[in-house]
Amino acid sequence: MLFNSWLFVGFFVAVYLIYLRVGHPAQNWLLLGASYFFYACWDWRFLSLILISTGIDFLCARRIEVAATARTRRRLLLLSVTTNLGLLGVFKYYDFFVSNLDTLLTTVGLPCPLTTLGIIVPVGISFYTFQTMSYTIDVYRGRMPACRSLRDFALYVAFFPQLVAGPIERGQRLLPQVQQPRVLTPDGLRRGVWWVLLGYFMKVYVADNLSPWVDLAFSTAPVSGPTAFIGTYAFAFQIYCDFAGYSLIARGTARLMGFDLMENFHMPYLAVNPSDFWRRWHISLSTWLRDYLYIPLGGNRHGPRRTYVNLALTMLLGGLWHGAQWKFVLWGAFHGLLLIVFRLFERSPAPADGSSAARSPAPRSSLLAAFRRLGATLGFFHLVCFGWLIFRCESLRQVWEFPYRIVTDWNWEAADREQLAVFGLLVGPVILLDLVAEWRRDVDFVVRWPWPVRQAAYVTILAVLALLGSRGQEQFIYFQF
Amino acid sequence: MSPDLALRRRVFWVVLAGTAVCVAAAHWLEARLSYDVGNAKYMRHGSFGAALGRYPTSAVSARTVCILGNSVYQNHRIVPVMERLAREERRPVRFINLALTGAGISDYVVQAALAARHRPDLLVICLAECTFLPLGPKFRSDIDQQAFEPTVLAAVPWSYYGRHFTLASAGSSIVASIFPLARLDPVLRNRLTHMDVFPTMLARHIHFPHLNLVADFRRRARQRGQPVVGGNWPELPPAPDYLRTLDELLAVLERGGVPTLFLWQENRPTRYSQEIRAPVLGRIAACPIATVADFSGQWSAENFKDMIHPVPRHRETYARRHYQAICGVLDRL
Repeated sequence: MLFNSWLFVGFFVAVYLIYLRVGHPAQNWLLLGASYFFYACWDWRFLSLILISTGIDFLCARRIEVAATARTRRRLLLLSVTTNLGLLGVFKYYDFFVSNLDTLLTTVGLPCPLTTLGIIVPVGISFYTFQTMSYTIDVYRGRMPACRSLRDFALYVAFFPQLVAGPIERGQRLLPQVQQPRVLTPDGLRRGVWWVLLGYFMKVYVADNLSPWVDLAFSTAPVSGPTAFIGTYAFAFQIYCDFAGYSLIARGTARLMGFDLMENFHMPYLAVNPSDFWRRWHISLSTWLRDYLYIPLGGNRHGPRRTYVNLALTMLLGGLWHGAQWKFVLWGAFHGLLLIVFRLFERSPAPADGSSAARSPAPRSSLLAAFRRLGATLGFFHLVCFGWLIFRCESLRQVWEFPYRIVTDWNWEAADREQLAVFGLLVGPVILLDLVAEWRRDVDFVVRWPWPVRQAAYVTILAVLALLGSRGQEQFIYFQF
Repeated sequence: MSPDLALRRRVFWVVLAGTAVCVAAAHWLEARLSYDVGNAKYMRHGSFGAALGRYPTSAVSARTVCILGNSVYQNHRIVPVMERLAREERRPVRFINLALTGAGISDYVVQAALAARHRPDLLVICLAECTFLPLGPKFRSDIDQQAFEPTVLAAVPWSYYGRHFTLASAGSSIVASIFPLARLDPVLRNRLTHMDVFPTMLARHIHFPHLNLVADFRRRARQRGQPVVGGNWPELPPAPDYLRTLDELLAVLERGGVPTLFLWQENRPTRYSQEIRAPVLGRIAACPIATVADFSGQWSAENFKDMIHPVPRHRETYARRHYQAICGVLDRL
């Protein structure tokens, strides 16, 4: 069930109407049933994986809490982590590793018949396994108590707005919201409506209209310079608007029900350096990797060399998280390299807490600083775009071919110029919204507009969606991860 | 009452009222857009808008022939020729043309169930090899959006639903029945594009629906660089479950008790022609209320522009041939 389908609209309205009329325990039962139905619409057989993950982590966390010895606690944690990584390993990575091993063995002259499973990757497996793992680890570390209600824990794992593509929530944030009665507030409802509308705008108007251009650019050979140019930037905005749009719809629908999910994107293309970028892009994953991988590996506590190794390892695994293909590993390596180079040349390290000071290193008053910031933003945006070429390419040849064609084939015909103008119409509003949000340091500035202005904005968005929104019902890119 | 509870109640009533208004408006809009398909009219929106073609309700003394067909019957003005021939012969026949572009065997099951409730004197179902080929999606028209309406549910075997629907597609169909805007959407958007509302620049670079579901499906696959399902028609084997679906169609017809003529249209033979035709014809022959008129051998390269579509100068002959077959069955009833 895609967010951008009438089925989801009907499903959500039905669930929401019942939700508003029942008490807290019944709300949780309702959301749990709705979440399982939501997932079953993809493939009901894979519900068993969610149930396994839920059951194991619930039991392990309960046992960890009461375990008498550290050894028992460690074993239970190991069981939980092994189960989750085992599910990921079998359903997402098994075929990848087996086929690569097969190629390797054949190359060295030791052919060995290895069979692949040919399983379709279950939707959202990377998201909910990470979410459940973080819960057990937090209980093990003593940062939160184990959940006593299986229903509440199952809802924490399967909560439908964020089940298939995040944000990857933490137990410490989401579980209390599941366990306590939610309170609706006018402000929460206003934000919820705005997030849902903006999410649909980004997904249906921007990302899905760009999708055919991107597909065409990356499946054409040889590609012309203008096609490569538009294809590269179109993919940068497609992936941003697709994923950020999904996250906003998830946050918005959850907010309408009184839940507060974490922010997943914070104007990422206005980042000035790699470190800044990862505080703004897919925040729930980058903070997960920081807390459960980078810091346990030692973080930056054991000298620069070890820090670089930890950074590289974290980003490589972060890349692999996106999918069982070498290009994702390479993309992770590219970003790891950017982070290492940035650290090497960094004069004053940014605060690690992701505070606003870190997000805007330049004081706004200084014109020179503003220009410097603009240069840094544009420069880094192009590095990110190069990374997206690695991420999206059909073959590694394209990673070099696209920039090469852009530089050498600057032959813009009328149709190309026209397409560029339409590209501006598609992505222009998103860029403008991000710039204003960054300048005002307020991502939800629209919510504070006077009532008539706000309603006019909503009606405009609805009209644009109705008239120009894509009806291709494109899958969300991150569903495949 | 706590502020939260009061707000919740208010939101509940607002959402409920909003939903009710939207649903009522969508039904009103569908009723406004629907049109009568009698008197040489045809379904207007290619593969879409199946719910808009209204079966004529006015009583006539003529015998009614309801036609379920594909793009040949929808777009090539075959039925107007038939009506002219009927007028010339002073034969009291009324044709209802429900043909949809791309319609395949799966689409016919739902369409037959919907048509049978009006009890026409004869139901004509057009077949060709491509009716049984997996050319893309299971449903090649938007008739699946009506599959969960009570009439259809009562007539179509459950096995059909089991094979043709997933939880999600069944949900979509149910939502479309409750809220018809979901199935009107492509039609409305297509109308807008033809009203020159959008600058040509946008119309050239933003994808608007073309109302040919199979062609759109295949075009999108090509854009994605994916192999196009059914890329080469003449080499394509039939869908694995085509005989089961045919059995289900025959079961629907028998339950409806409407005499049916299967018209095997003129079409270029494919690699699997014999494998498809023999079992299909055998099953139809075993059905007590169905007959077959087989024109597949009448295809010739000079009279057809592709596998099934006649060239304009051949339309008259084509329509006359089919008309005579229909009259033959009507006379025997």
